[in-house]
Amino acid sequence: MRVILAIMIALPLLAGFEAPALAQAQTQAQTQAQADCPATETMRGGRNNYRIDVPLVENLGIGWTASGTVREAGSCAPLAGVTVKLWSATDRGGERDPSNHGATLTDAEGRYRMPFSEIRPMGGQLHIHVAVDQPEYEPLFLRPVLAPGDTEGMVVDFVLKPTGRNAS
Amino acid sequence: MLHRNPWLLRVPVILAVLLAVASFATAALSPLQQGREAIWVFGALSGVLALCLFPIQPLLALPGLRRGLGNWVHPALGGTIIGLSVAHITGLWIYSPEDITDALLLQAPTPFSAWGLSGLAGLIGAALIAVLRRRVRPAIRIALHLVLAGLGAFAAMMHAWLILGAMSTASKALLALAMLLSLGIAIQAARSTIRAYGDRDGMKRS
Repeated sequence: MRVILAIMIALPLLAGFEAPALAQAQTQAQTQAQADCPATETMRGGRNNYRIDVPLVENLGIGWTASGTVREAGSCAPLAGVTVKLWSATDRGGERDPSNHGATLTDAEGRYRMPFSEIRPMGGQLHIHVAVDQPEYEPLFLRPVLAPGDTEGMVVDFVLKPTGRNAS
Repeated sequence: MLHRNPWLLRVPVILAVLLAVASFATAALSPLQQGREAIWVFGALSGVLALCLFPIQPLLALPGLRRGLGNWVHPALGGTIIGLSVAHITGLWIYSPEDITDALLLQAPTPFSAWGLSGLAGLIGAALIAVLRRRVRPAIRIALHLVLAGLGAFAAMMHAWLILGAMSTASKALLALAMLLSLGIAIQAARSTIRAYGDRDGMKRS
């Protein structure tokens, strides 16, 4: 009986001591993963309806916003001045409509932001396209699908792999 | 028996036609159609119309209705459904070739593309069985035609169910339910036909 009682008292105590250590280990693992910053992989269909020449624009409408942070693979450093190209079907028409394509630059903290008008489903899903294709980085084409809660906007963070080349 | 009475049979047919008209109208008048280019609307609505015809089609094959409407109606509507499915793929391919090529090569990110493709395969298989009717024994032909068409239509319905688009969830649910009921009636009728053919061809009854 005493043994059981002792265990019953000791277990929560042990758990109490264990928990911070475990949490710390998890945080370390997360930091480790962040420090590795593996390059984001291109998604299926990410390149569909891509246009090579798109203008830098203030917005593609208003009411909904795609935003995110762009980092460098390995170092995890935020990348400034990256041209992020975005397109989507909106209330103005489908993905191939030029007015639904635009580009924006990341700021000093690697952040980008592109306001859109109402996102409409195309091909049966509510989704946007986010792409980077400039010589300094491996090309990346994303096709994130909006979750039911993404009524105001969505965050698309990604990590680019440098090629070692410079823009010519 | 419902499937033998030509007068009683008109009730489900009329209901199925009304449901088809209402479902097609809600999709065609959906606010999502605004801003879409004509070829996109054409491609999307061809698929919607094919789906709306599903609950009608099995009923038209029933012996009771064949006598009243004519033998050509069921094959004609079958051909129309295949034609609409091809128009659906072609229209959307013209609008967004890369997306549809991905779907046809089973490389699309969307899970419903494979359902659509299997649906088309089933419907084409069912049509081929009907076209090659002289080479297949009637009992086997009817059974195969029903199984292929039923599975094809079910897959096409799953395809539509998973799609976020102009069709409302309510109309999709009603169409799916009506289609299952029609198929149920058709299967019931086919069983007695198959049995009759089986007897004639000297096949053993189980």
